[in-house]
Parts: sequence; structure tokens; C-alpha cells
Amino acid sequence: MSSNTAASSSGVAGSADSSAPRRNSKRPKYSKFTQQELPACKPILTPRWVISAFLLVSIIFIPIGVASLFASRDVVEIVDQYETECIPPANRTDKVQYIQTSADNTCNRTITVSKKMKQPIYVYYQLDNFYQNHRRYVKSRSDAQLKENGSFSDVSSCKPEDMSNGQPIVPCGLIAWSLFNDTYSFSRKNEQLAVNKKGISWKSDRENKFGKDVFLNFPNNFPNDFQNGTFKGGASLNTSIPLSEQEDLIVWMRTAALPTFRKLYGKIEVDLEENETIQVTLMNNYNTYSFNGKKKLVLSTTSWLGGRNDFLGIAYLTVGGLSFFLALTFTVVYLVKPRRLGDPSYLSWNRNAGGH
Amino acid sequence: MTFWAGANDVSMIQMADVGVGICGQEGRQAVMASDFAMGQFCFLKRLLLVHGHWNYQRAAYLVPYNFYRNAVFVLMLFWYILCTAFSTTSILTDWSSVFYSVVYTSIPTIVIGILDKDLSHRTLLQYPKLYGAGHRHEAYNLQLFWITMIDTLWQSLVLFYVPLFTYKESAIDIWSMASLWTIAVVILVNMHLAMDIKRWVFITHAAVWGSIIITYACMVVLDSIPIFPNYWTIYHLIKSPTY
Repeated sequence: MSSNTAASSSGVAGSADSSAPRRNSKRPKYSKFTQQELPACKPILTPRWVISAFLLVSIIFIPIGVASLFASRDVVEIVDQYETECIPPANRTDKVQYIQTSADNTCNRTITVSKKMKQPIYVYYQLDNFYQNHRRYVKSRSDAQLKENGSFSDVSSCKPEDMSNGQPIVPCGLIAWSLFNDTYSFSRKNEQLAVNKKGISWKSDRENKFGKDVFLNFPNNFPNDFQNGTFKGGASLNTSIPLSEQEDLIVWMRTAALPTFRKLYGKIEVDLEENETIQVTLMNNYNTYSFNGKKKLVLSTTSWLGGRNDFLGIAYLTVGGLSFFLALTFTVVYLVKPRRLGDPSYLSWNRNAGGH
Repeated sequence: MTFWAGANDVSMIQMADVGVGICGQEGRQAVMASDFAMGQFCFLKRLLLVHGHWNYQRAAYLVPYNFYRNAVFVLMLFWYILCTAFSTTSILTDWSSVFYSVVYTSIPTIVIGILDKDLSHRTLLQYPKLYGAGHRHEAYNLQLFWITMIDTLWQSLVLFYVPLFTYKESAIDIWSMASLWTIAVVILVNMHLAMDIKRWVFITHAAVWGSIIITYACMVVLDSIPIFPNYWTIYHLIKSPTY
């Protein structure tokens, strides 16, 4: 690029012989950038660099892996799958019909604490095979409507849950319509355990995304109307509290990334001792039977790493171990069969005997 | 490649793959038809041995790299679709998808294409046999292409599944995962380039590390607009060590 500019401008001068010194030539001003002579650094991969790099990686990763694995093992987690158990055996052949018609869905479960759990203990409900990340589901919401009362008619992205009886639905969309409505209450030795349901959603959602004075018009609040094809998809909303305090709705509307996901239900703020039995009274309302979804109740403590997940610890250990192994291998190869830097016998035309 | 100076050779220059013309006493017709123009015959040596070699090396590296850069990004979207009941949910926010090719990862490519040199011009002029690398298809051939593609596949799998397994069965939401995957793919693609750069100039540093910083900045800006579904995700995520 630069030699072309120099050449063509000296060509414009008309003389084919511009190598003769002409101080007033039309050569562009010399600068390190245009002549590509900027100071540069050329790192070359020598065996010493490679081995040191791999050793460094293993030295950093192996302790992190060990720490992560210990943190994950510290977490105590109790998982209880209840969607089949909570249907009386007589109705298990047609679960969908049972869940849609039955009036009383109370179910009593017992869980045993395997290790001491320190407060706060997080209560989650876990759904399997529920695709909250389906494209049409994710799009089916109206953030403008949730934020302020003035935009309540902004329901275009919410079809089919946009209008009911000629009025726009607030909050509209499939996400709000399918709000999870199982409830759980816990007791220990006949004494009720309080579940704190405040503060379970993101603070930024409560303050900025969901408005305080949004007027609700929610079809789940009305009874099922099978004749007209409208029926409840999930929970109804308490119209006496503002939208920014409907924490269950806010948590549910943060759509999950994967088909198996957990959402925070509440927190238990007392310690649970080892081998205690907790009685759970749950209302099995939510219909996951039409799509073979599973429902699980999860009680979990947390560590600095979050919930129970061995994967990060194992991954770090694996990569650290592999790096260490590679560093050792390269050291052995370098000591046994060294290769001189800049050895011309490795040039491509010297390697292929008889190559062009 | 053909090289001539007279007006009657214009058609020959046009037929050739690369035409070089001299502008001089016989007029400029050859120059107008050619790809490169020079003032003197002696410049030809530098054009071929130095600039020809550099251009070959840069183009040969960047063509597979651009395939890699875009394929990693698209394959990551593809693996996610396997988790969404095949409903084509895009794991990247709309703005991030647009910005990826243009803002997040294009500048280092351009800078490398202009500035990277594998050997100095003195070495190249001294050992003309190095020019034969182009004839022998050393820097870009079918084998290298397929190796690049397999590497792309492997990297996209790692890129997708490591965060997936880390956050499996947790309370993470879709836009936080999107944010994580966006930054991961940008860092991966730029680090891949960084490992292959042979000659680091301060502009190169600015381009590579700057792209990563710009990605973070754009994500912070996008996550601060309340009307978007991904509001506040980056602030929420940064607080957690798992990130």
C-alpha cells in the first residue's frame, strides 16, 4: 500500500528515474505508521514458554477446582419429586382430567433433613420439561405495560393472551397467564415454619420494571369458562397489592434459560437440624401433566459459589490436571529430543525431498 | 501474473490474475487496466517478494479465521436450539446479534489484515525462496480448512456446554445466560486471534483488548434500558462469583 502511493506519485512527476535525489518530490511524508515501521514485539513460542504457560495454568486452576468442589459439597440440598405421588392412585391413569376438575388438591409430604442446614434456607420449586425458553413464549409479554399505567393497551406482542371481553389484559401474555400456583407450607413437630416471601425477586425488577400503580385486569382471576374456551392457565393475582409487590409474578416472569429450572419460592430463616422430619402441606394445583412435566420441591442452602453444582470444580480440576500432564510431556520431549531454534532443515522445501 | 508497460498489452493485463503496470514514458493506459501500478521496474522485486508474501500470509490466515469467527457464533446459537424444543429462540439479545459482527469482533480482524507481518522485509528480500510458500499452498489448503472447521466445532461445543452445565438446575434466567454466552464468545474469538498474531504493535493491543472492553461497555448500556427484557442482567451477574 505504501510503496504504491510512493510509486504512483513519483510516476505522476513524469520521470521514470525518480531514484535521483529530488528534494521537492511528491513523496508522502515519512511516518512510522505509513511505512509500517512501528515498534513491535514478536513473541516466539519456545519450549520454555510453552511449558511455563501450561504449568501456570495448572497451578492456578487446580486450587480453584479443589475450592469449588469443597464449596459445592458443603451445600445441603433436599429434592422431593411430588407430581405423581400427590395424585391419588385411583386417578393416576388420567392425571390431566384429575388436575383440571378436582377441587381439593392438598397433599402431605414428609422430608428428612440429611445434614444440618443453616439459615437462610432457600425453598425452590423445580420444573422439568417445561420450555420457558420457547420463542413464542419468551416474546409473549409487554414490558411497557408492566412498567406504567399509561401503556396498558400495548398488547400487540401478547397474542393470544391480549384481550378479554374487549379489554386489554394486564399483565398480558402467556408468561403471566401460566403463573405457577402450587403453594407450600412447612411445619416441624407441629410448629409452623415461617417462609419469608419478600425479597425473592430482583430488586431492580421491583423498582424499575414493574410499576406501582398498574391497574390489573387478569383473566386468571375469573373462574374457568370452558364454553368460551377461556380457562385459567395458572395462578390468580391479588388485586389489592401493587404489581411491584407481586413477587411470585416477578420471579416467574424472569423466563428461565433451560427446560429444567428452579424458581425461588421463599426463604426459611431458622436452622434445620440433622435428622429432623419436616411436614410439607402442598396444594398441587399446577397442571404439568398435559406435557409430562415433573414438579419437585427443593430446599437448599448456598455457598459462595451458589447452589449445589459439582461441575465447575470438576471442570477446573480436569483442565488443571490436563495442563500439568501436558507440561510434563513437553518437558520430557524437550529433554529427550531437543529441536534447535531456527533449524533450517525444518523449512518446507527442505523437508519434502524432491518437492518443488 | 503479468507485467507490461505498453498500451498494446492492456488486454493481456486484463486477462491475468494479477496485472501490474508501469506508469512512465509510454503513457498510462497499462496503469489504468492493472491491479497494481508502479513507477519503476525495480519496485517489482519489493512488490512481489515483500508485499506479495505478506498479503498471501494475511489473506491465508484471515479467510479461515473469518469462517471460524462466524461459525462459532452461529453454532452456539444452534446448540441452544436443541434445548428449546427446536423453537429457534435466539440466545443472544437482538442488539447483541447485530453488534457481534460489526462492533465486537471486526476491528481486530481489520487491524491484523493491515499490520501483521510474519517476517521482516529484509529477511524476505534476502531469501527469495520464501516466496515459494504461496506456490506450495502452505498457508491455506484444504487440509488446513478442515482442521479449522473441526476446531470451530469443538470450541463451540465447549463454549456452549460449560456454562450450561455450570448453571444446570439453577435459578438462572434466559437473559443472564445470554449475557454470559455473548461475552464468552467474544473473549474466545479474540483470544484465538491474539494467540495467532505474530507481531504485536500497540494498535493491535488496542484493537484486541479494546474490543473486549467495548463489548462489556455495550452490554452495560443495553442492560440499562428498562424497556428491554434483559434489564439489569449484567449488574446482577457480576455480583456472583460463578460468573
